[in-house]
Amino acid sequence: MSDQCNKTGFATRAVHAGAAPDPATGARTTPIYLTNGFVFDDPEEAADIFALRKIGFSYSRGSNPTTAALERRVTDLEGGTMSVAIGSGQAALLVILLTLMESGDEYVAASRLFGGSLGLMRRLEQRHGLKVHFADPTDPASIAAAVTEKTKAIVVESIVNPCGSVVDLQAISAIARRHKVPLIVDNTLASPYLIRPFEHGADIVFHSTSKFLGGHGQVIGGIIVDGGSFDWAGDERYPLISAPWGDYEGIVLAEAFPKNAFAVASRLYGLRDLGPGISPATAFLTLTGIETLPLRMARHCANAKAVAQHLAAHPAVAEVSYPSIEGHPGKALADRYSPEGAGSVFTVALKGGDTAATRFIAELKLFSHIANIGETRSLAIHPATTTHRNMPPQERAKAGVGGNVVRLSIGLEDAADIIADLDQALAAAS
Amino acid sequence: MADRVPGFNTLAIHAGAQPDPATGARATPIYQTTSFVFDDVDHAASLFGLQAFGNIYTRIGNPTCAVLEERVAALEGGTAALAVASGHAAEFLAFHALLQPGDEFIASKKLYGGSINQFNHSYKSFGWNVVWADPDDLSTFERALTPKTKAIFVESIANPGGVIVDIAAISAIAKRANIPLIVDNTMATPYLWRPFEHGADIVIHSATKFLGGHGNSIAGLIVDGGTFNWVGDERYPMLSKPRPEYGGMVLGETFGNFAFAIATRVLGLRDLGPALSPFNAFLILNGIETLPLRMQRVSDSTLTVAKHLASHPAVAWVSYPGLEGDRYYSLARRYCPKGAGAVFTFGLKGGYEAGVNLVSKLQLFSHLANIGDTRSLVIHPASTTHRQLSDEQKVAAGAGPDVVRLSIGLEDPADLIADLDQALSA
Repeated sequence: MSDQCNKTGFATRAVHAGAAPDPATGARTTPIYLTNGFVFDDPEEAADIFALRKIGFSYSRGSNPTTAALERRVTDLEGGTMSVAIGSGQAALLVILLTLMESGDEYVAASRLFGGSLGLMRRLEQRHGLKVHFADPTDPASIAAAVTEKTKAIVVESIVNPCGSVVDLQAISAIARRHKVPLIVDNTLASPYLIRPFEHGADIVFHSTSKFLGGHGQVIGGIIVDGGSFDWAGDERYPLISAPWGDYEGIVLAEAFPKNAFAVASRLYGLRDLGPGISPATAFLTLTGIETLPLRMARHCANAKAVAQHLAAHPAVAEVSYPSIEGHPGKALADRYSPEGAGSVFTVALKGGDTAATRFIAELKLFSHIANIGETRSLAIHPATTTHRNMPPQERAKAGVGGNVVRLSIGLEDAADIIADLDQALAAAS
Repeated sequence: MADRVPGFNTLAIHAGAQPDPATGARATPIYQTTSFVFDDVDHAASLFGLQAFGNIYTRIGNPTCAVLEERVAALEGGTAALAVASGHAAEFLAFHALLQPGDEFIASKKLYGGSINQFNHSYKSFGWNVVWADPDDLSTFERALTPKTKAIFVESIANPGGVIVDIAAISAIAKRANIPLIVDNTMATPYLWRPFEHGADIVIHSATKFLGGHGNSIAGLIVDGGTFNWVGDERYPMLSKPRPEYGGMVLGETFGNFAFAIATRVLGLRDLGPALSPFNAFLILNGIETLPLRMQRVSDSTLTVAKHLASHPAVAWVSYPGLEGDRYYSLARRYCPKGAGAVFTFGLKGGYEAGVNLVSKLQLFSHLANIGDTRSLVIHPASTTHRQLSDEQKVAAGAGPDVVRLSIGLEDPADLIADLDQALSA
């Protein structure tokens, strides 16, 4: 099956890639290997696995067969070379940054990101000297202006949280290539069904699998995907990948694992040393969710378009950020990268200001007022007082998350029911 | 919002569920507990005496399972439901609530092989006697009626695939005989077909299949349509007589239009025991959230695949009600216009050997005993699921030697067709 995988359609691979009937029992679904340890054939094998001379399972924090099936599936769907599943999207970003950089290093990041990513970056700068330069991801020229010879990486989201803007990955990857730095793309809001960043020049992709990949809002997880495209060999800027590891008999990951060096480095440093492993039970549920990813994303987009269109014409609404609707300035770019739609997360700014926004959320009945996105249920939240509260207020307004803004994550319910709930809540709030 | 009837997609995600009142958790918690504390002795007594509803013990009921029960009852348009360990357990408990030793029931002969075996063999131990009828000839149902007949049992979209049963017509027969009609709606699911709308009284599911959808959990459901009048009907003592287990309570009177669901729980599940694991209920609930998307996709894909096979030189015949010209086409248009489901059969010109050979050469299709998975599945019923039947019974059940059954999953139809073509090529 694995050889056929690359030749089969996306929907087929969403169901099958990375998995096969269990050779020991014939079980069709991937077993949930809730085990800490795995027996070794003999002491030589144990030593080989620990020394990286052999690939094998030793301890579930570092690798696990259920988790490995998830990793293979996401690798396949993204078109990467290898993945590392991890405890959360937040952990994924942390491990990526720390695998690439040390104190004193610098990188460029989109100024418009998930609030948790922004918070992490600021904290890493304050406490650990990882200097971040923010630039507007919707303006590639400003990213180019921010990059210097000290820049070690560029980090953007493919579809921006919370506004749903689609960034011009090709333009940004051209900048990354010119400066020979890896482009890291958080592909959470798109999923590989809508956008595959490697096809547009990304080098590393990561996800909060807690969102659309898992799909049902039940399990927290993250994944780092190596595109196998960046040339790490001999690049002294990235010593974990290009320099010898003293405690591993001087292995140089870029030489020992030429196609997967970054994935191996992030597993060794991120999981073996730092520790945020993912539960195999979470991996199982995430794998199961991915089986319906194509169906869900298509419906999420169709619903989001209908809802955004409806809201854009609503008298109580000042602005709708979803770009995939007629008349939106971002539509051409959004259609170019994601013709089915820019996912289903976007913001609505209310004419009635902060009070209207908070009252609106309180009046919603079908929508859940919750800190999550990308699940079967429709969700709403007030970013200014929650997810983006760490942003200075003047920056919030600029980033489109001022006090009058509500973030919506459109689910899979009947569009008519979603719209009816929004209408009644808008009416009650005005 | 209160006046609005939510659409099917909305119900598939929300019916029966709410944020957890204790913690705000949005997804249904997995209450992996055997037992529940009582407020006090009186509270405990009132729960045991069915004077109040509440949680006692997971063999009797469980909050995670309760969400599943409400969800499926809402989707089917029933009044209440009971979740149990398997489709087999659902059938068993449904009949247990209806039949006494010496009673008879009429069953369609177009059934899942496992149901046929259960009815023919295990039920003999209880003195329950099945009388077989042909859903393609309704007179066989009329002729099967005797004063001892207590129920009729059919499948809506029927095994081994490609059969549509005329529920409304059989319901008319059941109503004239004043007996309940039980419909196993596993292969259709309420997305394609809601049997209560056509006169069914009780609906059964193997939630293992399309409801759960991902092939990871065995579960069953009994759904009460709330339409049959049990009160005073001495033929159904579980529902009409004072129950000694509950201080002389008459379930049909106390619980009105959800009495049947209650009876299967407090008499059947409680005493016979096939409880559903809360973890399985959680996984089935998950699957149901994408039921509308999955059922539409697999029905559409199945039509594509069936059309391709119908014109394939190695194929003698295809039985799929979505195909124009199929004997059940107009019944399918009437009862399940959105689609005729994901399971169908076809016959190979090369007969038994060709069937076995095809199964072994398929690569994308999985050869296993299940239907209704995200993965496409294949089986040769004559040598597996219907193996224990006599040759005559096999043919009667539509599982003759040349028959291959497919259950189409979520893969791209082009990939499925490519796999079938390579496996069918000499």
